[in-house]
Amino acid sequence: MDKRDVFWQEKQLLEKSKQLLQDPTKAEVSLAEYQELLSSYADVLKQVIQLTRFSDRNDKRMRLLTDKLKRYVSPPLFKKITSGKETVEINKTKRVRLSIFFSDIVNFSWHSRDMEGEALSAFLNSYLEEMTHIANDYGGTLDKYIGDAIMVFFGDPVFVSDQDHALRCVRMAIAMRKRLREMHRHWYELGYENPLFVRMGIATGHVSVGNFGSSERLDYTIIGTPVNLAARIQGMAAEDQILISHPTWALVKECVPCSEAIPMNLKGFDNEQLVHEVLLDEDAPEGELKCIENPDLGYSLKWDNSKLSLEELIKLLSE
Amino acid sequence: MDKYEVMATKTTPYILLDPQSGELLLAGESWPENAMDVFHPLFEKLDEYFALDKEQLRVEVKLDYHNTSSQKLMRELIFRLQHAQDSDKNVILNLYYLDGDTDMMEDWEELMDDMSLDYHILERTD
Repeated sequence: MDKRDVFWQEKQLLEKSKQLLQDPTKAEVSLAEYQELLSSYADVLKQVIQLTRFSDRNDKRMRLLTDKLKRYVSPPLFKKITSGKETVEINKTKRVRLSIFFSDIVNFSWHSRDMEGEALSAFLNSYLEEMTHIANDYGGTLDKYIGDAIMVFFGDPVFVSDQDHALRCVRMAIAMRKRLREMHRHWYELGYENPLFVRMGIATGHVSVGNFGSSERLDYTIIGTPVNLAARIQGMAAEDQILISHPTWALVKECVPCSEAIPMNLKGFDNEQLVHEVLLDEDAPEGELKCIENPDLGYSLKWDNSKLSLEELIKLLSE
Repeated sequence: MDKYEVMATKTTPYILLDPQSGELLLAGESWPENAMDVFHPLFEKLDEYFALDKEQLRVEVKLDYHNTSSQKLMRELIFRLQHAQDSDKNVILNLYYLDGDTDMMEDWEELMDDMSLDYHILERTD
């Protein structure tokens, strides 16, 4: 019997029991031998019960720990890590095309100047809670909070198509703006006189995504020019305005009405960048407003698809 | 008998059996592939220690985490200590759990169930 086996004693007991039964010199097992076996079996059972409870408590500990850690990473990334698909190694990055969202609260320092510490954190957390909920609903990967600013990206770890991530990103921004307007009423009733407004910026482009940091502390984040572009565009947005980069616009223009291109000089960019404003009225049913345009051929059409189907529109135009 | 000291690794605990001070310390984490690789050499050293005719052993267990196999072998360690006490050795056992970790406290309580060994289950705040 190998004494380096964790279960060597139990195996020894089993072997001894077998030998007793197989011994041709014995007509029957004696009472003393039977009592010894019974006593050993009772010990084994007690051990099994103890170890099962121990193992259950360890499982519970692991589950509680996982639930706590879950709050520190975005749901898509958490799913990827816990499913074993993410190896959590440093220098493991890939180059992909994503849509990146930045927002911040206009004049937050001014708004928060008279707030006590606890009131400020409750106020900020209620805002971040709502916005994060919306980001998760749209499948965004919440990269980080920077004070009152939020950075979310789309297209990783789950990628469907470029149009899919750009559209989800823009629709999330629209939903956030709508929710913020609802929250104005709530905050006003709580005694905050001045409504909060946000600036939002979105850009689409190739970035490096993966684990950055050190072997002891990693951040799953993105690095690249489109990240800076999204942040700069957001900085140029007015109150409640959603500005998107030209590549983002190219991916969403069939579904989300936008302004003509606005050339902008942005810090850190040598050339003028084309930016578009998202025009969709978020109070209209989402996805119902359709748009077809081609300035080169001289047409631009917008219609409410909930009232008029494409077939009906074609029929109307041909009449 | 020389001092028996095994440095901790990511999956195995720090072990010190000092025949001079009469103290055994287990600290850190224990979740090796085969827990016997950790405990079997320790059991051999303990047999050696008790054969020295030493009268006392103070055992300090400060594990942060240990797996089910390690718990099984902790049980065997307790049996060995119990046996030593039954053979007129003076064994003092202190089992520590991390601050607020009531599950680990229960682990130790259950392990010591039915033992007549002189033991304490203590809270650690380090």
